[in-house]
Parts: sequence; structure tokens; C-alpha cells
Amino acid sequence: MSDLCELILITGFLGAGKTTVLRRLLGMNAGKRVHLIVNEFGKIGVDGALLKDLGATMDEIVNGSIFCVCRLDQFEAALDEVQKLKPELLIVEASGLSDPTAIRSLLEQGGRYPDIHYRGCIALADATRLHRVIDTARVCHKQLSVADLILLTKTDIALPDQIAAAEELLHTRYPGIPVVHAVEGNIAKELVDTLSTSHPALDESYARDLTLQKRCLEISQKMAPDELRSFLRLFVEDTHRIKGFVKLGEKTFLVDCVGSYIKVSPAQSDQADNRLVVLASEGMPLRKSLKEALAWYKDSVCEVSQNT
Amino acid sequence: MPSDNVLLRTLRHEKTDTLPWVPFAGVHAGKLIGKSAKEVLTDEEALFDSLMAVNKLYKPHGQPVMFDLQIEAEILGCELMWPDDSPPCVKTHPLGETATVPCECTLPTEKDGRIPMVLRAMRRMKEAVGDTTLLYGLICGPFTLAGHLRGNDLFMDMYDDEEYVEELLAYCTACCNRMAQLYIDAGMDVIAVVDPLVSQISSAHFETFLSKPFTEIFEHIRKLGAFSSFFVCGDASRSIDVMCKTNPDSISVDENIDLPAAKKITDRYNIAIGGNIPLTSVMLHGTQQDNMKYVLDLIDRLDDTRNFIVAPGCDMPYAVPVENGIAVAQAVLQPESVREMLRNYIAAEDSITVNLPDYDKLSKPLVEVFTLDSDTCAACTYMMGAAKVAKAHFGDAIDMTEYKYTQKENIIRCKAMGVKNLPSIYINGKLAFSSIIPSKDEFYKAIEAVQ
Repeated sequence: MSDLCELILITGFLGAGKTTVLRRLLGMNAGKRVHLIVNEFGKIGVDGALLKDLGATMDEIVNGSIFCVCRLDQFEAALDEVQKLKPELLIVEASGLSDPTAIRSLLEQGGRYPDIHYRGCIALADATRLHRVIDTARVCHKQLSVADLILLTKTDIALPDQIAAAEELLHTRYPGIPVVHAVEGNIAKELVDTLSTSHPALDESYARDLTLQKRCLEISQKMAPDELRSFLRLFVEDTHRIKGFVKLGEKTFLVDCVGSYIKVSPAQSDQADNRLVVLASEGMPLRKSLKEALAWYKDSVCEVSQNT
Repeated sequence: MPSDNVLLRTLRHEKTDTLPWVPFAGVHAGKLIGKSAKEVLTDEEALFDSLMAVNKLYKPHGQPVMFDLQIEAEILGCELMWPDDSPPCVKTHPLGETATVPCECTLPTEKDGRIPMVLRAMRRMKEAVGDTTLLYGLICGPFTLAGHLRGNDLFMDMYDDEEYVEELLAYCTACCNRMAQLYIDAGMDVIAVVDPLVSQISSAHFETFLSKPFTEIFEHIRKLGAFSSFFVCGDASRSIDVMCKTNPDSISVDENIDLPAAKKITDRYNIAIGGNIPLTSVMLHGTQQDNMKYVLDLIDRLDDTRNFIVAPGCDMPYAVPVENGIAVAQAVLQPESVREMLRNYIAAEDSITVNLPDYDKLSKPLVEVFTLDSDTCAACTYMMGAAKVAKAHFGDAIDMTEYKYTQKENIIRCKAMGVKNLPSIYINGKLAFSSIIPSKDEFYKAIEAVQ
């Protein structure tokens, strides 16, 4: 039996129904050693009796600085405990206002949590409210863009027009990410069992069907990795994909961003041309945000023709 | 206000020879005197004593008196949840079910909630350290306060009912102005408007909803004769420009923002910028060397250090090791000396060997004081002072010596001894006290135990 603990992240804007889905996931994993990390005290809550019945355990993270992604220390402490408990499944319910990319980045810090395997992220979208929060709360878009599965919730009470509009919005903005309806957290077990980050990522051939925006950037070798990450943060939310090999100083890195998730990792490659290809589609204000980002880092990054 | 304070001069946008340093020690201040977060945030004596400890150990040019964004919300009807090691969280939202705008007659007064306690602590701090240290009064920004009152529906209101959001923000702005007035009257030199939720919206929404409230608040603070600071948490990079247009005297950012790059924008508006020592990876989990290096690297990356304030990214975590705060202070106050220390730390491996005493065969107790430099580091001065008192008391019955980290052979000695934190005191080769200065009784007992 593998000692790896599978981690599933549940995100969704406040009130999207995360706790309901969490209860459903607990039910379908009865018999397994399950641990929860809950980053929010919800109105429904998961009570101790339910956990006891299902043999699950829980850490609740209460943090006055819950908006700050730089205050992940309580989450880190909870993960340290999880490594000792060795559950088979770890479900993390992230705060409705927390940045989901921070958790994945933390797990990918080399070797710190070797026994925890990030299975993927389930993001919830409330069909009745999606169109009203997607552009006002940045985190809502971030959560959906890094999902591996999107559950469209509250479709039982949403109007048909609302459901159709929500589906269109999700398919347009997050192409390639499967979207399923989930009433009262009702989600098929197979979907959870097959959840994975390795679903076909959006690439250029896929994007060709869309109203494609493709840009190419040249990165200075003098840039530090943290500077590059800061540069990418300025416009990554307005992209589907950013990819390329870059040499920074004397080291080579693979840049591989999907949705809002930024990954700049050391790589063994002699093909670092210091070019990044950026893909976005209809409705994404990449032109404006990239222009601003280039102004911030005009000494280190420039745009080049894709054919040079 | 202390006229020669470098923070004051920085807020006036003058060039300074040294840089200002503002440790955002909110709940962390409690750790210095063994009090919980809740004690510091609710008890005047605990708050005052912990702030004095911050002032003594970290030698700040400025410091906040109370770092709790829930004070106003609590008065306005939000229930709070109190962890032991963090500020409280808002648990309920009084306007969560009904989109109304409260009457301005409900705005906090000097008699409500924890405000009387905070005002007393502010006046005591002004009396105690106001001649050397600028004091920050922190108020909850209008957008975060609106979020506390209305809950998550605020984001939908921004889509459904812009007029309601504007009216609610006008009420919250009036609350900010009221709080600023109370805190300035109590002696605060700088009013920090802390609004973490700002990073959750786009720059376009900022301009639609927040430009007017923030401009009004900063103008109000200026008219009252104080300086202002705009605190954000999280990745607000895309809003730095529109934040500058609201005209604060300074902006404070965390590690999510590339400070040297952001400073090029704030410099265009002649606004000071402060930050952004990472709270968890460096301050909480890093070593003293990590903290010193981060500060020096940050300074080195700036084209121009005018208009720059060294500070943590936000409210320091409760459990930040005290020695890390001391290390940051030393790096800001004595950058060249610390630069030399770091160079020697890296180069110290092979050039010199030191012989440690045979601790099992000492003829009398040996007190060894390891310091960054007791001439320049406040905490080290106090630690060395405690050792000198003990030496005067015990006389020839003990041996006592100081090892300053400014000398290369002492760095090697620290490594050989396994000394992790400075300042610290070892007695007969064993760690006795680290960072926190022992009382006379504690020190005497520790020596008597090995006599």
C-alpha cells in the first residue's frame, strides 16, 4: 500500500457551497483515513459528530490575517501534523477569499512535504451568482482558472438563462477544464477518483479554435527568478498559458503557468531561448495588463515578434 | 514629533543618511513579555508593556500601537472569534442580510468598545517614547470595514447596486475619519489606513469605488496635521498606480509586491514606500542571517533609497523569533557592520581555528555573552548590561567575556559552539538565555546552579 497522502483542494467563492461538497466527499470516502483542513468557519460547518461517524479528523485554521497569502504558517503547521498522522486522503477546504495558487506552490517546495501528493483542485461556481462576482472579486477568477474540475452548483434554483450564461462563461474563460452540475453537492464518485492535474492542458492547437491572443516575450538573463515571478503575477490572471525555458543568471528554468498558477522551476535543458509564449483568449484584457507589466520591467523584458 | 527622526524626514520625502525602520509588531509584541494575542489586544497594561519591550529591543523609528483591524467592526456589531496567536476574526456581519446604510449617529466614539483602552495606551506611549519614536495609529480601511459589515455580498453589490456600495463606503469613510481624529488627538503621528481587501479587486474597480473614499481620508488626515500611510496586503501590484493617485504620504506593501519595481511608480508621485520583509519564510522560519541578508539585498536592489522605509510585509506573526527582529534592526541601523558580518559568516569556514574552553574542567563559572555588537545593538547592550551586573555581584567568583559577531573569529566560535541566536548567554558552555534579557534573580540563580 502506498504511504502517499492524496490531497484534494476545494475552492469556491464565499457561499458557493463548499461545505456541502465537503460533506459529500467525506461520505464517499467513508472507511478511508481522511483528514480535513478547513480554512474557514462556515455557517453550516462540519460538526464533530459527523467526523467521528466517518472516522475523519480535522484541523481548523482561524487566522486574523486570512486575506494574506503570505501568512500560510498555520497551514504549514497543519501540513506538518498531517505528515505525522499519515491519512490516506487530505481534503483542504480553502477560505473563499484565499489564493488557491499559494497552497499548490507551497506543496511544490522541494521535498518539504514528500508524503503529500496534490491530486487536484475542485472549484465551485454558484450558477446564480457567478456572473456577479467573477469580475468584482479577483480571487473568484483565480480559483476557477487553476481548477482541475469545476462544479456548477445551485443549478436546481438557478433560472435556465442563468445556467446557460454560467456554462458559456466557464467554457469561454476556462477552456479545457471540465464543468459538471452539482446539486446539493452531489458529485459522481468517478469524477473524484479520476481527479488529476494531468488532464490535457490548454495548448496552442486547442487555443487556435478560440479568439486567440498570442504574444511572445524575451526575458533578460539578468532577471532574478523572484523578479520574473513578480512580472508574471502582473498579467497571469489574463492568460490561459505561459510557457518557455529561460536562463536566469547561470541557471535554466522552465516557466509553465496554467491559469493563474505560476510555476518557475529549475530545469535541465540546453534549449533556453529566454522566450515565453503567452496565450489568452476572448474576454481577457491581456493587451492592457501586459502593457503595464512591460512598463514595470522595461529593463528586463521586451516583446518580440513570434517569428523572430 | 521628534524632529531628527529619520522616519519623519522620510515621510517628508527628504534624503536621509540612514534608513527608517518600523517593526509592525502587533500581536508579536505580546511574545516579548509572555502575553497572548488576546491579552495584548484587550488589556492596557499588557499592551503598554509589550510595546515598550518592542521599543527597547528593536529600536524602531516608528511603531504601531495597536494592530487590530476589527476594533471598529466589533463596535459596529460584528461578533469576533479570538485565536491565541492572531488578531481576532470577524464571525458575523450585521448587514449580511439587509443592505442598509447605518446612520452616522452609530459611528464609534472615544467611549466605545476597546477604544478607551487603546487611547490610554496611545497617550502613555506618546509620553514614554514620543520624543524618539513616531507612533502609528492603525485604522481599518473603508473597503475592509464594508466587508466586515456586509460580508461577501459586498462583491455582488458591486455588480448589482453600485449606489448602495458607494453609500456604504461613504459611511465607512466617515468611520475612518472619526477614528483618525481620535487617534491623532491621542498623539499618533502617522495614521495607517489598513485595507487588505483592496488586493481582491481590480484597479478599475478601485477607481470606481475606492479612489474617492481614500482620497478623502488622506486629505482629512493631512488637515489634522498627521502623516498617512496606505497599507495593503496581498498582490495589489496592479493597483499601486491608482493607490498613489489617492495621495497618501506613504504606502506599505508585503512580499507579494516587487518593492523595488513598485518604488519606481511611487517615486513618480513622491510617495514613500515601506516593506516588505516576508513574514513567514524569512521572519518566522528564517535565521538571523536570512533576515539580515534579506534587508541588505532589498536595500541594494533600490535605485534610490530616498522615500523608503524598512518594515515587515504586514503584522508580524506572533511567534517570530525575537532574535530575528533584532537582526533586522541591526541590519537597518548598522548596515555596513552587518554586511561585514555576513561576508565573514560565509568566509569563516576555513581561515581561522578557535579553541573552545574545556567546560568540564573550569575552576569557576564562565559566563560567555554572544552579541551582534553591544555598542550598537540595543538588545545586545541590555544583555551585556545584565552580564555586567552579575559580574559586579559575583566579582572574581566568576569569569565573564563578550564575543561580538563583528569579529571573524567570534563567528567561528559561534559556529563551533552551535550558537544560533544573538544575543545569548552561555554559562559553562550551555545556553542559559537567548534574546530575552534575564532578570537579575534569574541570572544569579543560573550562575549559582553551577557554582
